[in-house]
Amino acid sequence: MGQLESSHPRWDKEVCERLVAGDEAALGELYDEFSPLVYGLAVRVTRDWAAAQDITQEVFVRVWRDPQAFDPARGSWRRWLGIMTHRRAVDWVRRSAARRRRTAEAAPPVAAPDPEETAVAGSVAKSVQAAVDDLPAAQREAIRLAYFDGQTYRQVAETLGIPEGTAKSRLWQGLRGLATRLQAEGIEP
Amino acid sequence: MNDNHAAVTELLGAWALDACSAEETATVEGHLAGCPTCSAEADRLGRATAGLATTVAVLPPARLRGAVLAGARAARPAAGEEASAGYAAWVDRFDMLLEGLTPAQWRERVVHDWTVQDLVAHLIATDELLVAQLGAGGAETPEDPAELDGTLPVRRSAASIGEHRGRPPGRTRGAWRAQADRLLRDARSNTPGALDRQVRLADPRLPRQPLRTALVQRLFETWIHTDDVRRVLGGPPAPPDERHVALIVAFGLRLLPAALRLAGADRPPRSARLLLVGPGGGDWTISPAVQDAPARPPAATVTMEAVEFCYLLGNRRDPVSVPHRVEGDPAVAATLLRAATTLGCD
Repeated sequence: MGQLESSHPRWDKEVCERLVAGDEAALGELYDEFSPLVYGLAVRVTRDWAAAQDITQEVFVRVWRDPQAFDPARGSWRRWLGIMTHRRAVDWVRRSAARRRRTAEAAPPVAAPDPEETAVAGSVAKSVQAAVDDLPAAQREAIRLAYFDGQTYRQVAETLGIPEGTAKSRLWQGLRGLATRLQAEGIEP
Repeated sequence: MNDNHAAVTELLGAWALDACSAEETATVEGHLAGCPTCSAEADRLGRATAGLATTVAVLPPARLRGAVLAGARAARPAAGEEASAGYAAWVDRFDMLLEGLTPAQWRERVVHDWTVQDLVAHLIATDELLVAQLGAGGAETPEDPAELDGTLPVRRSAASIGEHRGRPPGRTRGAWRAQADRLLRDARSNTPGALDRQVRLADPRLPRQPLRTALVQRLFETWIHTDDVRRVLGGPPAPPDERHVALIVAFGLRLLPAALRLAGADRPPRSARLLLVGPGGGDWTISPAVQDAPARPPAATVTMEAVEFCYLLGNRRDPVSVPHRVEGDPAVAATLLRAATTLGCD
């Protein structure tokens, strides 16, 4: 389930109800299902193991404290956890960039792969990757910089040497293309 | 609302990727709330970003799991601990109240035609239904299925009341307290998974629930009887504290779909939104359907105070006159409120 297949609305709702009722086992199940998604995304964006662990902890504790912030009618746990994780990771990247600017510190080296870590690619991930690979290269690159490197569209424009308006429209077109293809394939992340 | 529609449309892609400035993010989100076109588009783009997240999944270090769960427990205790602590608190409060009663007060009528002593005898009977399932080693006595109908708690109560009438009230109080302490001891015994054990609630027609939920029902009933007795003595009401309201509300929500089905209100299944305001409240959609119905908007929205909902669950409020507001189909709302009153224990 979860990582390996499309989302399960029924399971999502049931887990939410159990969390509201204070059922700790439900949090364990949610963690087992989605910690690779949360941790993997946080590592990819922050490139910092300790920050990724903090973010993972923050996201799941937040869900436990306030499970009702998740509304099963508005999307899956996967989607909600992805949103919460990405926002925190991007905040972390922007805060640490600001700190480096203040201290004139050099950018940290990109983290080497953790020997402990194992990539987990389910069928959803494989379909998404195939769809990303089929995007026009300019859109793919813009999305990579924004989503996985945590850049704002202004930074994306600067990195690629294109006008801000072009960066905005590449991001939008790329996402649109991805969404349309996932929908056509019946994939509901 | 539409003054910045064009600007927001341009920003939606960047927004969905968290690639806007804080000000732009606020502008987009302010606009989305009032623009169905943009919010549908945002939803479509959200599907794509959720997909992107799956492509970089990696297993976290194994030790992180324990740290996350411990952090969660520190932030909010699990329901089992909360329920047994809450139940213990109401057992103490009820016991203190009973301790100060005069013989005449023990004979006051409380609810139905029950005196205070009858009420305590009734509580002994409903607590006992749970105690019997926990007992030594948790061995369960096989029961005659014909006995397990909706009248079981009523018959058990009547027997207990008959047994205690004519006894000194102090003995009834002592028997109740000793049994409540035993129940707490059994529930708190540190067997792993003890609180996940499925047990029958007072009404055997309801689906079995984990012990933690049954403890919330004990908390709930002990509270409501404390409140009953205080009211009869002319004291101020004893509403539950915020955390206890939240537990009782969660208990009610968990069982309402089954209560609606027992009342035959699932044909056709129509969902209702329950908006509970004040301490312990929240916003829920309740559907009597066993299977997930296609997402349809709730047929009615009922708004009321969370604490009033607790009294309603205890059948201490009338489903018609309890202060509440209904939007949408009044029949669906009325059915929901009526079903809620069946989840008490008397």
